[in-house]
Amino acid sequence: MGHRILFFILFSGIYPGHSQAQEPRISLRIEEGSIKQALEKIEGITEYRVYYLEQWLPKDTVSGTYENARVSEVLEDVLKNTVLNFYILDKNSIILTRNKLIYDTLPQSFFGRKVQDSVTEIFDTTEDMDPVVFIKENISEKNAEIETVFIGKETIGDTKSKYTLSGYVTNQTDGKPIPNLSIISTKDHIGATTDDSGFYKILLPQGENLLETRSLGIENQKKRVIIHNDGTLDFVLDESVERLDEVIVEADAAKNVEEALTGTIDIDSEESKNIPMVLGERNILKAATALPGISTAGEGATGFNVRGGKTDQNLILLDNAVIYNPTHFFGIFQALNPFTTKNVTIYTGSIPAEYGGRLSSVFDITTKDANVNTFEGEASIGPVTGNLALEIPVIKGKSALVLGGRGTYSDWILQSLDEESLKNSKASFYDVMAKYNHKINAKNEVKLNGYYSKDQFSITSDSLYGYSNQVFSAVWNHEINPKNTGSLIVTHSGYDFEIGYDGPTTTDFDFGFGIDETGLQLKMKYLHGDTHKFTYGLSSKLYSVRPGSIAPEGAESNIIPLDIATERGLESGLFISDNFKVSDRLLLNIGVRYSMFQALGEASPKVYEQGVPKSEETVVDTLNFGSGETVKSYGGLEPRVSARYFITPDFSVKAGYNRIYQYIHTLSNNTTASPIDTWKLSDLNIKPQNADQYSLGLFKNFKENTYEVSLEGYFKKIDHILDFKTGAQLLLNKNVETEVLQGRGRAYGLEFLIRKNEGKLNGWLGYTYSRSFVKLDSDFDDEQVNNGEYFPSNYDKPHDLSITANYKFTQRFSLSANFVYQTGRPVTYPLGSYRYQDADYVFYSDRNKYRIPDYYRLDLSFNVEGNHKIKKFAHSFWNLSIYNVLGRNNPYSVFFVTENGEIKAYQSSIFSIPIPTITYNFKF
Amino acid sequence: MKARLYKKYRIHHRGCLLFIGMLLCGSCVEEFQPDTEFFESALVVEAVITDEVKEQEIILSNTFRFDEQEPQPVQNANVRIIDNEGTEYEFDEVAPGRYLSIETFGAVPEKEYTLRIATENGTRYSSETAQLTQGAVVDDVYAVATTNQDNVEGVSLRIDTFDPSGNSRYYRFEYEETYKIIAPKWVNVDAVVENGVVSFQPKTSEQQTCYNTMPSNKITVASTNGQAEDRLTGFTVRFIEKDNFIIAHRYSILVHQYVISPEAYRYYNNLADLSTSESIFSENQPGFIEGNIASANGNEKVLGYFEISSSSSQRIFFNHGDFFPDDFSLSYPSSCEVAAPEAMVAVPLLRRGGTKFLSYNTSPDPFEGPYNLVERVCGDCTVLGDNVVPDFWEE
Repeated sequence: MGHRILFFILFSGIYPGHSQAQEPRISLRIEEGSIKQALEKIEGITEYRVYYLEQWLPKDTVSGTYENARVSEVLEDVLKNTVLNFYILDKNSIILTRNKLIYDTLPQSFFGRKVQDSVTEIFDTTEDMDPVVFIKENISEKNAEIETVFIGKETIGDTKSKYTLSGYVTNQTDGKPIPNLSIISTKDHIGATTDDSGFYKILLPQGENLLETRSLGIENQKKRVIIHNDGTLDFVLDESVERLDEVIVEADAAKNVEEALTGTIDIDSEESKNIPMVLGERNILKAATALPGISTAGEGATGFNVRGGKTDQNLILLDNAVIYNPTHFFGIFQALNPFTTKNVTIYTGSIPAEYGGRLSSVFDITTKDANVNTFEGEASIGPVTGNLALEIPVIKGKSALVLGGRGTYSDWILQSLDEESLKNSKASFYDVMAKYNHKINAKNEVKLNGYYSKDQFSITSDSLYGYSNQVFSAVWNHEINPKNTGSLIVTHSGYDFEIGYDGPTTTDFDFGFGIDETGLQLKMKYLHGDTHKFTYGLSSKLYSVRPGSIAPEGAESNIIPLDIATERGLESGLFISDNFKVSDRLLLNIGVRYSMFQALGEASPKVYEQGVPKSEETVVDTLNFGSGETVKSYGGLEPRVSARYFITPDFSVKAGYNRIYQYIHTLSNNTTASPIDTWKLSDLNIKPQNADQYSLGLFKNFKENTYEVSLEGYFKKIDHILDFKTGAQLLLNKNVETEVLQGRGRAYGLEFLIRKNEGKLNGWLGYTYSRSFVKLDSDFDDEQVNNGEYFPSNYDKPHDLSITANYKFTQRFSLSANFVYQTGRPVTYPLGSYRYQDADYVFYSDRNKYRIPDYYRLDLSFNVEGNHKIKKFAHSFWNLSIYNVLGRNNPYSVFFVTENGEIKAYQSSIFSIPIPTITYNFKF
Repeated sequence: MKARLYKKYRIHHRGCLLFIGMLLCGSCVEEFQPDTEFFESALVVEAVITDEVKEQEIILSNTFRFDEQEPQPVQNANVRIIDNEGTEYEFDEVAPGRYLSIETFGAVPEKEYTLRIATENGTRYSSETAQLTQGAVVDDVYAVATTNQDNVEGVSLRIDTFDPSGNSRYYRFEYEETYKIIAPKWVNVDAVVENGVVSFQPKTSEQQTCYNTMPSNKITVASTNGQAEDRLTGFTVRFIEKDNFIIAHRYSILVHQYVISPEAYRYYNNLADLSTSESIFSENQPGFIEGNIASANGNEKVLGYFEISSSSSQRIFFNHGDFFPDDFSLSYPSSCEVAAPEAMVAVPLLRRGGTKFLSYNTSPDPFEGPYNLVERVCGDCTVLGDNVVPDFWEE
């Protein structure tokens, strides 16, 4: 840039633009020259040097002839059509400033930090420059004084009380727009969020406003905006020094208080990198479990329990398409590439009407859009996986491709071990993804996303397990007009697993299960005005479930091939919701979804005698339905209502109610979910589950959102929750309904969260008190559990405390810690033993009467960021972590077995010793 | 077909490093002493009535605490089986908790049977009606030298069974195994200590060769459901590792096959599933397994299953050398090391009977005594078995 300019922050005072005396008079002539040329001419014929930033200057040309004019007059004329003002400091210096001037458009990067990089000369403060405060470059701008921006000129007869400020927010590093960034006026609690293109629009009251930007992984910036007219203001924000070491998991600060929805959580993948994790594998899903409301049954349990819900009640979406199992290796690792995953938004309380089909939560995982301008890459090496992600521009400025691949190299490690028992084991997994984003024009954008993951493991030498996820989605975003936008989404998801058994006898087999769903969704948004924002649309998806097939393996196998008929079903929903701003204090989000499900043929469901337990003996009829015929229809109206009321501008109370139906269920007779649980659609004999949730919360931010405190309570009621008879045979069972029990669920809880988002020490503390119960009642003993009374569910953990803290020593070094304490989960414990046929067995009675010992764990990690020189080829990041520092042997389960006729009681744990790990990441 | 993972990875894998190694070392399974605070007493009924005409047996006991070794028998109960024609088969208690039918009878296909029990305190129990499942008889029982799934060499005892009518479908197996024991350090004299004086006398009882019989203590069920034929071929009833001392010499197994009902199969299968090792990661939901016996008032839980089955059995014999002709290792439960302690130690050892005299120590080293001694089990097989040759034994 080669300019002699300073970085300064203006003091919001009023000072005369040209008050200096004894100015020389000059004569010059400018003909269609740029302002820069004009300024250079002035420099050429006077002693003055003019200090400014080149990008301030508009591209307009100026002309003029000045005879014996004062410099100030010349400048005034030259700059008359610009936003610039000037200040003649002394005999040699003129400083151009921007102040108190009308402008309709500001140049891009107006206030970007690039300004700072271009400083080549530092202007020392002198006494007589009182009105302008110059900040030295080396003062950290993070806590620097707040820049003031003047929008519009104060005019007499100004009658409007509010003006619109709009603009784009871009990332300084790569120039990409920053979506989902909140801009809040802290004084009035007016807020806006940027859209996918980084655009925002906010209505501000006339006069002074303090704007603050908030986003995950993006530096928070404050600007004082004095607005007297509609105008634009762009922000160019850095991924920031904060990113290195600041808040790791962060729900948007303002959103917290502002939005009407309760129980939403945002986690950024990049931000989760400091959280200590098992074997150093970044895991945003595990990070989520450190926040109130989300838990797992234990370290080796697949799936999440959200607010007392079962693991199959979570709608997990990867770029709009369902991903059935987003984890590898029994839930210990996430099956998402941390480099290509942008963030996850989790709805645990109020679930927006556009989502449906699962009772407890929505995990909306978004993949990064590739950088359309430059090639970028990121790679990591850890003890478990190697990981690579590339961003490749295809059409510069328009479209780009993200490619991600990740795999274990554990197999060869196992093979190279001497330990005999481990040589028989096998565990490997990989996941690959590709995303193509193409901005066709300002109004049309297309995104294609493909994902595949595969796991294989075998622990005994006679069987091999494998599972895989396939996800595809295509999204077309279209802007019909500024008020109406829409998205057309096509998705396809699949999940399947297989078990290969190669035993010594004639029973060798191959078992396979698979589920597919193909969906179409239309989502429209209509911004009616400030008070009403509508979202509406419809969605439909077709399921196809292959419950299982078994085939003989090898010539000697006596297994006859069996294939349980494929199940089909069509799930549809119609939804509309309105974000209705009733007053400045009251915001309503009123939505409704009508959800429908048709179990489709071809099918031959059985009809059972009424009033007796379902069993093969009580079948009274078998119906037959042809292909595509409707076997059974279910449906219902799902109100989704939530409200926010500001008690004070930074203190709000929110309430919500939703109802949801769920038509697809996992079949599992395990106490915890596993990757080989099969899915089953509702049909003639299995009713859909439905849940009603009521929630109420108080949200308060302190010290300009530095501290966020929230207290939320909920009560949830589930009908037709699925459970199973003891010892149910669920695989390859043609009459699986005879093993199913459908009962009631009840859950309630109180969630407290305090979070500090800034400062050297940041992090959060969450405490949840929650209960979750199930009731399985029937007139028949063998369909009853615990005499038909409510009993604690397998994941009922009343007390759950987690603390995540991060302390930054310098910008490069930081230390993070996690601490988790949970009540032990309930287990079914035997009442005693008995002897039967020369062996001893244990005698179980009531389910879940006992609890395993409480769980606690401390993890530490030390993070070293490579230095942040912009020109550096690669940016590196080291992470040294120790999982379970205290070496606490947390019991995961207890079980009783009969070995040689004797009872043995065992307690298992997954990670019972401290596990240290080093990972190395680099970006290029 | 369940994820029975990590069955074997117990406690002892703490030392290794790297991924799975680390996972497994990090993860561990430890045995613990279970709590007894929740103890509840319940009636346990063992009732297997077969089509064989004999004195049918029913065993009644109570559940017991984890810190107790033996169940308490349920005595003085009134036990009877009633068929649908009104015939009652009464049972008498012949030993504490052991009831035998007063008259011999065998279950027949046409009839439906109900078990009725009234305990001393007046509680009444009754079973659902049960019918005989007629079925196949054992085709063949044979032994095969092979390796198991952990690649350990041994002998697999297998059964073939076939029901051309396809009626049987569900099977339960039990066995009794009998093996010959030869004390490796047996000598024909005993050192007898009387008033501190050691004298030598010829052995008065057989202590060199013994026989021991053990019942199976594991539920073994099989089903041919889902298979083309009602046929089990080479179904493994028992696997004995090559160096197990019970097959060091001669071994015999009597395999009982019971053709059971689908409900009984389900009951046994559930019991077997719940009592075998689970995956570390996912565990079957345990719970009370409902049998077919209930208390009249409906409040008490009853353990056990009233089984009516058709039974058949077959016995085979084999010698160690039949399968491992080159293996002369003659495994034994003790390594039978010989020691010659000083007399002041040796004499009390002999007197207490924990050791057996083997030979004179002709050239004792310093600190050695005059006799070479071995553990009692090495010189006296009656520690491990019975010195009477069983009636059925064939050499």
